[in-house]
Amino acid sequence: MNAQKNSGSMEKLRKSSQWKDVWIRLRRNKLAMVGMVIAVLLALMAIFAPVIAPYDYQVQSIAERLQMPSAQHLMGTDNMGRDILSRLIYGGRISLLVSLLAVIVSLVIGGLLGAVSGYMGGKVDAVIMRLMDILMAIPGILMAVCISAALGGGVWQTALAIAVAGIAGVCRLVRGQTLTLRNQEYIEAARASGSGTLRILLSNIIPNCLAPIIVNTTMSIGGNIMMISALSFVGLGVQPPIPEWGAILNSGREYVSTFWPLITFPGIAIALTMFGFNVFGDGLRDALDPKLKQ
Amino acid sequence: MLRFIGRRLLVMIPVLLGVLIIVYALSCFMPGDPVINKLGTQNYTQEQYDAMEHQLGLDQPFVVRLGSYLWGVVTRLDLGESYATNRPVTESLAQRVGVSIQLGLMSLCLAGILGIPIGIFSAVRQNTIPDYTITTLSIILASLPGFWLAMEAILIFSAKLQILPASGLTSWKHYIMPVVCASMMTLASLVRMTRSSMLEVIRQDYIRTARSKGMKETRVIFKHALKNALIPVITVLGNQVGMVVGGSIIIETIFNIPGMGSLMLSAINQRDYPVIMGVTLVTSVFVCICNLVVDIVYSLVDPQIRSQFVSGKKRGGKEKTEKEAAA
Repeated sequence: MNAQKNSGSMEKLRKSSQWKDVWIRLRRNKLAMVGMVIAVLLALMAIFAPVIAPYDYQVQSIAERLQMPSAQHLMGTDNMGRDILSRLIYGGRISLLVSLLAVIVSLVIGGLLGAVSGYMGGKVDAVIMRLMDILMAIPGILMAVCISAALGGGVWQTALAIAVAGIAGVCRLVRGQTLTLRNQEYIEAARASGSGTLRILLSNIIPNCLAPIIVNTTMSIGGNIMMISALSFVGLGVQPPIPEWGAILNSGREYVSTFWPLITFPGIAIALTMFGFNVFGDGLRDALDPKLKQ
Repeated sequence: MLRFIGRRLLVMIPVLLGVLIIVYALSCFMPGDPVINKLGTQNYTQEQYDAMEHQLGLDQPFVVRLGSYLWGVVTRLDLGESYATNRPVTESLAQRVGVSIQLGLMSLCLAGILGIPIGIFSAVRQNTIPDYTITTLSIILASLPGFWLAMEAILIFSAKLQILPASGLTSWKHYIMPVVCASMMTLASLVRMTRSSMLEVIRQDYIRTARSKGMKETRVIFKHALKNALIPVITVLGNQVGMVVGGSIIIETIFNIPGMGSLMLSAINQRDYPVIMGVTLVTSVFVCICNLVVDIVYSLVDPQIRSQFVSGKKRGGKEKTEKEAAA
């Protein structure tokens, strides 16, 4: 994959066969495939929410409030008489969107900082790593709570809060990778043939960090969804009436001992999502790990 | 050893100062005006407003406020006064911090005491029915958010079965649900980590040597394999400290436990900045101390690592990068 100076076709061949290998190994792992199917179904559900959802997620009807699951309302209705299933389907949209946004932001910022830190070394590395030490010292969820409280509730604010909490992890990961890469011969060759720091970072270092980054990203999507719902659960994060799984769970708190559907179903949604992405991420890690390659 | 601990304690100081600065800066972005909150009414004259602003010190420029806050914390452990209650933050923290740390430590211990043996058991019995059961259960448990488990637990054990109390913290029964719920996710990841790390070690040559010279299996596992297998497990435990503490802060609010979690949330609702900063600082100190303990345990488990600390590098991180370098 790194034989940049090879002829174009050769390079293409090697690249494609590597990813093909990964795919073959991944396909053998049944659990990972289950995770992938869950992730894909969730994404489809989020995209086609208006088509799938049986009811409008915000139509209230006090007469129908807190109904148990029935043929009309498969998961019952909430405290405002809204269909819980429809709210969960739309909620998945928000949860996945915020989670993806957060992952992308922390990936870009953390990845760049980590690559620069690992590649440059010296003072730059020291400064960035001390900053990350500080970020790591504050537990992620508390960090997100503080930022969320400072920025106020809302989809974008929540995404930013979760993203900042994730930067340090990505940064450390990429830095570690970069440290091992920077003394390899092909980096030296690139430097000798006149590539600048930025070019080496973008076209040599970062592509070679891809495997652990992909695994980390997959896992983070699930983890972030839990953080988002935790934030909404304590009243920060995404604000009602926007349906978000944690916010729906929060609205069930008052009825914790009387009405189980409002607690159980959103929880299952969160758990299923985390399960899907965790298992898929695990499978990806095994598939990308050449040590298991026979 | 003492030098190493001293070094690590010194490194903590700039980190905690950084935490203070970040949290202080964040609190200045928070919406709502503490001066108006403090006056408690919309009917105030400009003079009253200015006087209150001056009393709270909010008329000073940012750097001056930050400086005096930092100075107060460092020299007198003074975290300021709560805007809501007018009492020193340290006082209300002191009442609650014990409860939170107690819960956090209990959850961590439960996860460790159960998770590591279960993981070893699962690895030793690889590819048997108990192993499959444990592996599947731990994958599922790792996906269940603690705050949801807490609510389901209340639903089942308090509302339906009525065997455990749903709120407060007065008897030992009150501890069961919060501690179990806060520890489940960490428990699951410890089981998985212990299992896979144990499996990796068991495959090594020196284990085969130990077995082939006729050593008893239990001795091979506990004397030779465990020591090396535990190193990555300790890393995971260290990384999880923050998660457990943060998670139990949210779980506290569900069970109405008078800990730092409820203090923090009511402070956020009231824009009570000094309290928010205090809680975050105390939690960070706790996390830092736990990480220090983890580092010390590291060096106890493997004397090789101790020498590496002198150069300021952690083995855990280095080992990981080397492993990934093979990729």
